[in-house]
Amino acid sequence: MGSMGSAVGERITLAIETAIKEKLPLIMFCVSGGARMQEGIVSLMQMAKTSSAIAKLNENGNLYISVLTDPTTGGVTASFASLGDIILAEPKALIGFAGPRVIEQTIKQKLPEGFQRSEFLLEHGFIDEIVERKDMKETLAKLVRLHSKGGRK
Amino acid sequence: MITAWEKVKLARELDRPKSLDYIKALFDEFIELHGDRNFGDDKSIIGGIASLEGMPVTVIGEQKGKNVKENMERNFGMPEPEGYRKALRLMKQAEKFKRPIITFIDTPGAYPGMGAEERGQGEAIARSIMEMSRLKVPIICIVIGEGSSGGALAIGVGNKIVMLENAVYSVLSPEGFASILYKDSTKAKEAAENMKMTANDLKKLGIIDKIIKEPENGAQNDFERIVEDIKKYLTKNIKELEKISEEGLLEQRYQKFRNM
Repeated sequence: MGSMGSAVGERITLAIETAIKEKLPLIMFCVSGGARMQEGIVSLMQMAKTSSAIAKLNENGNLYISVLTDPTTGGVTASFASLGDIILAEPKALIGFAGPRVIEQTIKQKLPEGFQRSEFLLEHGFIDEIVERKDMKETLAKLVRLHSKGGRK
Repeated sequence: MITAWEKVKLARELDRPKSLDYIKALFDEFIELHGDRNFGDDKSIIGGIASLEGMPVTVIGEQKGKNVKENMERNFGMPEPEGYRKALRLMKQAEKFKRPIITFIDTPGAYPGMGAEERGQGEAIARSIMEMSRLKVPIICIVIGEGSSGGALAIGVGNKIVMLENAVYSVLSPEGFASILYKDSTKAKEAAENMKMTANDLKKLGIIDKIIKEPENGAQNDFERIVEDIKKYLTKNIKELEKISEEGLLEQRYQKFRNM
């Protein structure tokens, strides 16, 4: 999805609103460095726009699976990417709010190996499972099946 | 007319009034409540219950210090996840007791440290933004100094958004912007002029609802008048928002951000 400016925010919000209208599960594959700096405050507000739409989706009872791929950082991590009913990640994906360079500059030391990688997030309780790309389709199908009444679609 | 960069400097001045100054001046009573019931109490976000001309309200504010010692204690107004989780706990409490919520935004950003990442800075901000969008009480957010990044927006999803005239609000600091886009953090001044981060810019973009006037040399030089203006705005607007149904409040807030 690249960085999130108003066009990305609008398309994601439309996808969420369509899922609500059509009573469909929502699966979002995230790969983004975060908010699109060039668009300034408007890109920041896309975090509120998309997260508000996810809140409506939740009230409506739709399933939302968020799949985090390498990298998912910044404003995308701090909005819809972290709000899935179920959050999956690909192995070794970089996932975090602040980027590793910013953290290293702040604390003035090197980060340990594996910091902010999928395995680290699983250990700290922020994702449900790590799934390899070759197994993703089957895992998603199973999860969607288990969310339809009687296990059938 | 002062430049955007001059406003950035005014917004960051140590003796500029901070959240606690406004809270003490605006409300007849205030009782601070602590902790996120999970990990700790983050002193860079304060929260509690206050009385606005006799009406109970919940107040949340990012708190910077006015000197080095205070800033060390307040982590320069840069919250960690437990700060946002405390804020959200208190905002949910406000909803339970049907109290309007007033937030004061003043942060250089959420703290980019190792512990913050380990405890889910991104998740804490995301959840706060999402839950705020569905709280069934009126919410008014006031940017009093520096509003920077998701760390500001985490307590910024309101029915009304107000800025002080010399406050700034953007996706990141001009230094960060210059370092990412110009590969040179010393070009912060140039960045500030291009970032459209002043109250006037945000009013023109339709992001904020109201600008509270300041004297040119900053809010500390006419604090009482500014407090009076904020108080007038809050009482008038809370009264108007309370007339709207719960559903209407949620829809107004949804559409506000939907159109950005």
